[in-house]
Amino acid sequence: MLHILKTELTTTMNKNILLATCIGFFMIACDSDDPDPENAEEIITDVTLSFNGTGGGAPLEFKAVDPDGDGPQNLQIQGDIILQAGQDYVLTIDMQNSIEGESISAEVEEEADEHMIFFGWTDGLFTDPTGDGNVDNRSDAVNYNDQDGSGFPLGLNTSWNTASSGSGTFRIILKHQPGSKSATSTATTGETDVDLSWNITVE
Amino acid sequence: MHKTAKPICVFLITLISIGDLIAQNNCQHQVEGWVFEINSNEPVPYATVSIQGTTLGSIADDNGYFIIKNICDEEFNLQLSHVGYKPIIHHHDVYHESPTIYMAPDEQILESIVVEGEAQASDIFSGSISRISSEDFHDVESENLGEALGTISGINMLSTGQNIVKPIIHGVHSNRVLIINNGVRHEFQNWGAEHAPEIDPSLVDNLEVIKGAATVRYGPDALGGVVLINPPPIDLESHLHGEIRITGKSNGRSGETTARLSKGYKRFGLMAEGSWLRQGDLHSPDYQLTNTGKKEISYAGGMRYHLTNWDFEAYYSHFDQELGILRGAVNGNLDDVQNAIENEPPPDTEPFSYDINNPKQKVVHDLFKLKGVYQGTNQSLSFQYGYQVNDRQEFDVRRGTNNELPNIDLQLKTHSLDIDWNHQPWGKLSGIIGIQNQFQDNNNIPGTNTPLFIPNYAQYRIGIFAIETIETSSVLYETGLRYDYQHSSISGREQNNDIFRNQLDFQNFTATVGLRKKLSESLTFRSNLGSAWRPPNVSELYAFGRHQASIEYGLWRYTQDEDGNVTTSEILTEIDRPVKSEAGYKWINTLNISRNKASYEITGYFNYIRNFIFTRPAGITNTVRGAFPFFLYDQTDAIFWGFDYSSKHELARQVELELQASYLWSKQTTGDFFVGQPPADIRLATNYQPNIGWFDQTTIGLGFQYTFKQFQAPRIISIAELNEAYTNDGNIFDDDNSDFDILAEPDGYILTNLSWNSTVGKFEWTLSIKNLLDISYRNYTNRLRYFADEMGRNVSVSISYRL
Repeated sequence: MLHILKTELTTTMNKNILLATCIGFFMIACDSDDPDPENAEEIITDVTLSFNGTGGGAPLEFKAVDPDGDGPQNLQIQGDIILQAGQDYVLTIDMQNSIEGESISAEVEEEADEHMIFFGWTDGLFTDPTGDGNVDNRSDAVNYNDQDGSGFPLGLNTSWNTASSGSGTFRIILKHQPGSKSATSTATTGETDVDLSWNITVE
Repeated sequence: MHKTAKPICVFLITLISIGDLIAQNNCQHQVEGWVFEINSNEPVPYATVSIQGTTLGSIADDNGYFIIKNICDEEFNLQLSHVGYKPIIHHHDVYHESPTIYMAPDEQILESIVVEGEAQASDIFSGSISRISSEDFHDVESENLGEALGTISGINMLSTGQNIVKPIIHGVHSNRVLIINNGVRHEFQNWGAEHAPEIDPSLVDNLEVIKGAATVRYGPDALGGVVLINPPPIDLESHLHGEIRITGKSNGRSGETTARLSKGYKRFGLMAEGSWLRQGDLHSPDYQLTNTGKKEISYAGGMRYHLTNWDFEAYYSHFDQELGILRGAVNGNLDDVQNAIENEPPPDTEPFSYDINNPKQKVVHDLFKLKGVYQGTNQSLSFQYGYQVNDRQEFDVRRGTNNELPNIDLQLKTHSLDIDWNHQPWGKLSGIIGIQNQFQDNNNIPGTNTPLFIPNYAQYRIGIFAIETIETSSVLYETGLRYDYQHSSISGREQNNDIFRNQLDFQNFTATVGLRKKLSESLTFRSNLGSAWRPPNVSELYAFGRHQASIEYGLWRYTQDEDGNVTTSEILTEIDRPVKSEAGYKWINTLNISRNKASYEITGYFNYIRNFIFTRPAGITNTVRGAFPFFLYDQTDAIFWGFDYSSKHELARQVELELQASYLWSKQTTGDFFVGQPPADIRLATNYQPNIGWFDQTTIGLGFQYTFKQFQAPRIISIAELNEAYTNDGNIFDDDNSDFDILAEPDGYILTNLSWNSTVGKFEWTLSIKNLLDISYRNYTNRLRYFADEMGRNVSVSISYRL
């Protein structure tokens, strides 16, 4: 430890001597140090919705991808959601930072007391939950299967029963609500980490 | 490169070898001076002046003028006294300019003071210069620096909430306004509108603002003007004196303590000062402004050593601040912004607290300075070395453990070496010649887990200048020339963390011409035409990423095809997109009228800036988080013109009236207006000095400030319209990429301020109430005006003791 400290001090001293020399001998080119790489941990590039039919069969996966994160390239919604009529599904949501190879959904699960996923859809697509979801009104029905430590819903795992037919949109909003998540916090509380809409058909 | 080194050496040697270094030591020295009353500036006749330890002495005449001849020593102590006034001892040597003594009445808290030569820190005579004197500054020193400067006509405040305030001079700010703190260019991350200068006004004694393009004297960046900040002087032969001051304010429940002490010996003087401040959440008239607390500690120490021809000075100051930014101003995507705008009180408003949470800023600034001045006969040579370290950390609201990490963490180290020579008159020419060197190293401190917003860089600058004046009985002509060279080495990382590097060189000549003409006994006219330049800042070239609710790409971080599509995969160089330095031409004229009971100052200016660097909206990008507008750095030409007015009137024996007004017009030559330019304002202040009971002196002040609605504003595109355009996949900036604002300009408003100041013996107390009527208003130059009202009524009480 002491050795490291000493090395650091020497490096700093050397640097300062170098800087002073730069001034002393005017025109010597003084190069900039290369910055350390930084990992943009918070960017979400891939969001996958997996609808697992309780009757078995392969899960139905629907993806949204934005490989450049905050870059100017638009997000791509890869295909519409198509679900079978009159089916029970468990929806799990997976979020990844493909630039860093990191699971954001795992992080969200760890920080469950600061996060909540809200759902909004065209009325009539599901028999359970009924209605159009809790984006517009927090108290509207959504079947959450997971909770945080205080018993408030999280939303990485939810249950759905489709109606006989219909089409419209399906929207998920992940909110970051540090210190403000409560029994009444809404889809406008806190900052938006994810806000995605798919076209959906039940047939 | 080495070609330039040779003339510099010759220049230095010439500087050092010139001068009359032989001291004369016979009884042929003399001293003359003037004695004035400190408040009225009227002469004090019959004041007694003597040389300590000798029988030499004199009495001031009707004009306050005195002269003492046949002095044997080169340096001596001048004693001044007069019945009813505080006596003063001034250490003088024959090389310094004639002293002017301002005597303070016995019963007042003020001390008598001595000023040598023209009491002006700047060397520009034809420019428009506004001062806040030591005594006036006392009233504003518990504000932040930007607010203190805002009391000058023509200077506005660019703020991000209430804690982050920086000066706008005649419509330009940040990198276009230069701040000289204690003789050293204050170097910080000036590129950000939300980066305020790290200077604590409670450690400042007085300040001056040059509202012209003063690049010739002070170097690049001074396109709008220069702010000169001066610490308290260190006097020789002075008793232990100083001041302790405690201030409490109702809004934010803040407390501040400031102490200052200094003592002077025969050859040696010392000064130390410190300040501590703690502020909780502020409130608007209707609601709490959550997370607007502030913590600040600053201290400074100075030392002076005097020899007959030499003065040496060492100075160190430290500034440490942590400040919160309104919680409700944090947004995610466009929906969040709209939600924050529509909600009042802002989202996440909580009861009062002293806690400072994210978003917040932590800044530390250290300045070390060494200065030596050689005082020859009619000339002086000064050497100054400065070293500054500026640390800036910015914290956003983030997920998990990242919330503890800053998303911006920068350290800027600056070395500077300045040599100035006030040369002996050459015929009718007198002036100053100087050389300024600066070396900077800016580094990202690792561990932010955020892509670098700006790259690392090392930068070297040298500037050589000369300013000469010729003075006749009524006119002073001034002209100056300067050459600057800058070399930067840049090293950053691309999005995929690959290293990119670049080496850049910029150079420029700048010039100034001006005159100061005494038109009559009461009329003075000044006119100055100056050019200024500024190389593009590293952030303007390389900025990349999201900063709050918008995304920015620097000049070399994007390419745009004919259809307006933007890609950022490549990093450009000067070959792909040449970026020229900004060049400004500012013409400023000032008329001073001083009549018996009134004085007026009228300033008119015109500033044309070529290659003006700004951001323009270019589109909306959709991310997993939702939609964001993105902005591209670009260059244009811009015009700024306007006028400032200020006057003082003595209405009755104890009643004074002050009037101020300013107006600015600004536009890009393409026809677009800028967002957030200060609107016109008018200020009126009255001061009444009644004789009340056992108070030695009382001043009651009432002030009004009317700020107009800004009518020169760009178009409005609401968030709803942006969202709609994005949903319909239409790029609304394809046809018209002129600047826009998301909310209409706020209405005009009138603010009322009241103050009461009294002194008793060595105590002074001040009661001041700002926004007396507790009105709700929004300030167009506050970047958080979209989200919350300004601060409501603020009652502050301060007590100080002078020793």
